[in-house]
Amino acid sequence: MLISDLAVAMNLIAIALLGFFVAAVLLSLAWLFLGRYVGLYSIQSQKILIWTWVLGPWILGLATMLILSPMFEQTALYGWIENLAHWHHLYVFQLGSWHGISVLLFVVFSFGLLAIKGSQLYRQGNALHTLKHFSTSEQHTQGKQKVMIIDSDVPTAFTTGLFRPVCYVSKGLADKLSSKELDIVIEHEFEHARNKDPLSKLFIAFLCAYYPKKLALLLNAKYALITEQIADQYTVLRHSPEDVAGTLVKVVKLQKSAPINESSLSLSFFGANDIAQRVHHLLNPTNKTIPVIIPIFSMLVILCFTLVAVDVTHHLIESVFTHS
Amino acid sequence: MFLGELEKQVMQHLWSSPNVDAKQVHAVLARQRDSSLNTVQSALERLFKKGLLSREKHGHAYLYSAKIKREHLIAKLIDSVASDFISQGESSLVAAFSSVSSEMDEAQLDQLEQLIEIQRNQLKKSNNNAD
Repeated sequence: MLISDLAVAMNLIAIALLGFFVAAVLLSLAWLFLGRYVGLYSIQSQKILIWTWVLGPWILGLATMLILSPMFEQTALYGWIENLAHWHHLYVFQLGSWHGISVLLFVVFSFGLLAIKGSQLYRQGNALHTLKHFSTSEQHTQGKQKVMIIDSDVPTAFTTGLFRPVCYVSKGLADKLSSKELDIVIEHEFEHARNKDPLSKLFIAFLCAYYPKKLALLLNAKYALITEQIADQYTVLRHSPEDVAGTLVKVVKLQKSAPINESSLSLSFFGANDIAQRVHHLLNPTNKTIPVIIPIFSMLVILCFTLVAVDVTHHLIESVFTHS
Repeated sequence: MFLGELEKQVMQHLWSSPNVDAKQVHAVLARQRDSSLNTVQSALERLFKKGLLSREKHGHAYLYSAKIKREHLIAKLIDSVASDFISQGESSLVAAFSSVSSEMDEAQLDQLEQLIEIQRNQLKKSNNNAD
């Protein structure tokens, strides 16, 4: 059993964790009802909403911890907080209790997740390294930025690299596009590189992994689509939306008809609707923004629910199963 | 697809000269790097197990050849670098220009093309009217 400072620290972690889970459940429920409306807003608003959703449990968990911490004990706020929720054993912590075990499980899960993502990154890095070894890639500079040309018939274009993203275009794609279409593809990729999309997607994937799997997949796919649409938007500054949409469909058609594609390769990421969604959005963009106050206010409401729920869960569990 | 440094060199060599045994591969690679016959042998063994090489028993030794064409391996590598793993529930580390889905058929793509064409024509018309 721990008493004093270390106990306070461990209790605070346990509070943050319980808050995290309660918030994750509340936000999952919120997605169930509100998720379908996210697509109605402009791409930038959608991005803010997705970030709010994935960062929500972390922010709310930390906020719950701060509110229930001894920080406010001497202040006038304390009485008000005490009415709403309180943690009845802040100075005593038992490692074998459900708090200790849940903290342990969380730590183990997080390390496991880090290991999985790390090995994915390592494997992908190795594949890229091997690719560069076998296909003599030449550099093309456009302005200040570089594009690597891959010597392959597979029609593809992508951007990869976490901290210094690099754009790649295959000869197979470059040869079949007009110079205007190639320009659209390259500008799109440069925008991914500028936004450091591979890094932000990895970060989102990491945060989403704490949600139920189905929701995690949805959020990941939604975020990936948003990064594509932001890159599409950028190319529209110098090209007509119709040209960008046309290029998009042309590239997809090329990829579908690529002979090498027959051999069970899956040059794909997410579902069919996404190309259609991107084309529709290019042709009829929505500019409806969501006022920032709405996500902030919703988070405050959820925070109150979280505080109460943390308190209730805590007391319920401990009156049914007492601390061992 | 995970390939070590030596494995890459072995593949490269076997594409240009097929049907060679471990000794011959070692003799060629020894000029570039300091690896023993044993290391070369186990690299060949690993590549065979990965399905990248085929082999034939010839006397006491195996003769190795590349089973997969260079262009094909490159395609596979592009796939593992560029493909998003989202559908399998894993993270995506790449931002690709576009992606093909097996669910997206030719007809749907044609529909999108028509849609784009309609919009183009409408714009042209309204521009002409404005003039």
